[in-house]
Amino acid sequence: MGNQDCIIFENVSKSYGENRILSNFNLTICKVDFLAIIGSSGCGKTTVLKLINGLLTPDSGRIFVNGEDIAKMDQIQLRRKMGYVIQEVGLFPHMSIGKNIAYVPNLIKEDDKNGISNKVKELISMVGLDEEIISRYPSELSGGQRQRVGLARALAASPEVLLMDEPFGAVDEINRKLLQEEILKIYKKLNVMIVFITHDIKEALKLGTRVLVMDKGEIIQIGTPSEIKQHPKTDFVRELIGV
Amino acid sequence: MIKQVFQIYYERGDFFIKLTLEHLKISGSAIILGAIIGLILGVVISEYKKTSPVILGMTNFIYTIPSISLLGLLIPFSGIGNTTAIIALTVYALLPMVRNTHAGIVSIDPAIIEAAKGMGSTPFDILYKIKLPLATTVILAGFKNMVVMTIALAGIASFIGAGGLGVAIYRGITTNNMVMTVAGSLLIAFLALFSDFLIGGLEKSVERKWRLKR
Repeated sequence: MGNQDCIIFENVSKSYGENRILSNFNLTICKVDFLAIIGSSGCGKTTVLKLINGLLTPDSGRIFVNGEDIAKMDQIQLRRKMGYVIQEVGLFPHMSIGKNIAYVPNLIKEDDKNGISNKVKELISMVGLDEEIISRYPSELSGGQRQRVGLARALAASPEVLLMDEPFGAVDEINRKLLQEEILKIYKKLNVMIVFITHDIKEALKLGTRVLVMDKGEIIQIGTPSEIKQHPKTDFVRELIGV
Repeated sequence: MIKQVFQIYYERGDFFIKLTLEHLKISGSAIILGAIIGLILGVVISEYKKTSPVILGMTNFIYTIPSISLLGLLIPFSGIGNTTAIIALTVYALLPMVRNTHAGIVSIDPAIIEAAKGMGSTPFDILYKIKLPLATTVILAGFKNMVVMTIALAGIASFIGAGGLGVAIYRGITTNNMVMTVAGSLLIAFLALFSDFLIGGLEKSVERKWRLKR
């Protein structure tokens, strides 16, 4: 079962207590997709993301990554192959920026100190920061800088998949634009699969190669940005894109 | 009075040195045991939330037993002497350690834990690399309180036949020798203040090293 280089949701359902978030959810995301998931809060988009890296487990149905059922995989190994970026960033305040970025490489220990330190420098410049920031601490950084460090940290283990949960939701307008450019550059350069959650339709249409519109745990429409713009399927989508 | 106290220190130096060392031995043993057990219990109740009402309730309850009666209650089990004193002091030391370890861990920003988990840390990685370092200042604050309290409390251990500076105080009381009582008390106070100062310094240096300013 399952294709290589794809994430497949097969009849996935998930509830929190009485509250049913997803029911019989089906979705296929393949390599080099930049999938932007858009929907209002509480529509289940974060749930979809957390199901992929096993932070949540489905009540029923299965999720495949590279053809393997993730319920049967080592969750720790699974997560180490996926970069994870959240809105609050969650940098470790007691570690320098360098140590933050090197967190996962230090956990897997597949590289020596020199290799890791070179990788950190490479990542720092990739996300558009200056090398002198490496020895500083999270509390000394601005919001935009912190989010860039969060991105660098997620890329440190050379993930095949990058999961991003409203990563630019808490940065100011100017920095958000810059970060959007940055993520597009990184996407083109590294050829990773990105699943990107946002509640900003402009951001979704600008970044995604495919856009998924969700409402109340259902997929309303999925397609390329131009498909969505030209053929909005329902009133909900029309309202969202503002036509 | 002060002069008499210093005179007694001078004249009976050996006696006070012996008592001070004994005092340090009793309270030190209880501090080490209490710190280790308290830290482990604190970690357990933060990792397994269901155990927290039980363990916190029990340590709270023990804390409310008057020290003199706890010492008395232990005599049938562990006899009189240092062992009983160390057991009682250890039990008292638990509460500040458990409470602060728990408070330090649960007050960490959930986003930090989620990021660590999402990046593929094992529960042990999270505890060892994230939770404990971030909780250190709160844990050390509890440790400082506990050390001061234990050193002071060890003074009454002589009532059940244990050694330590309480011996001087007790002897002073029973022989109506005020100077002796004051001399013992002053040394206990000095030990407690000195430890408070030392641990306070440690706290500051950890705070600086890990940027844990709150």
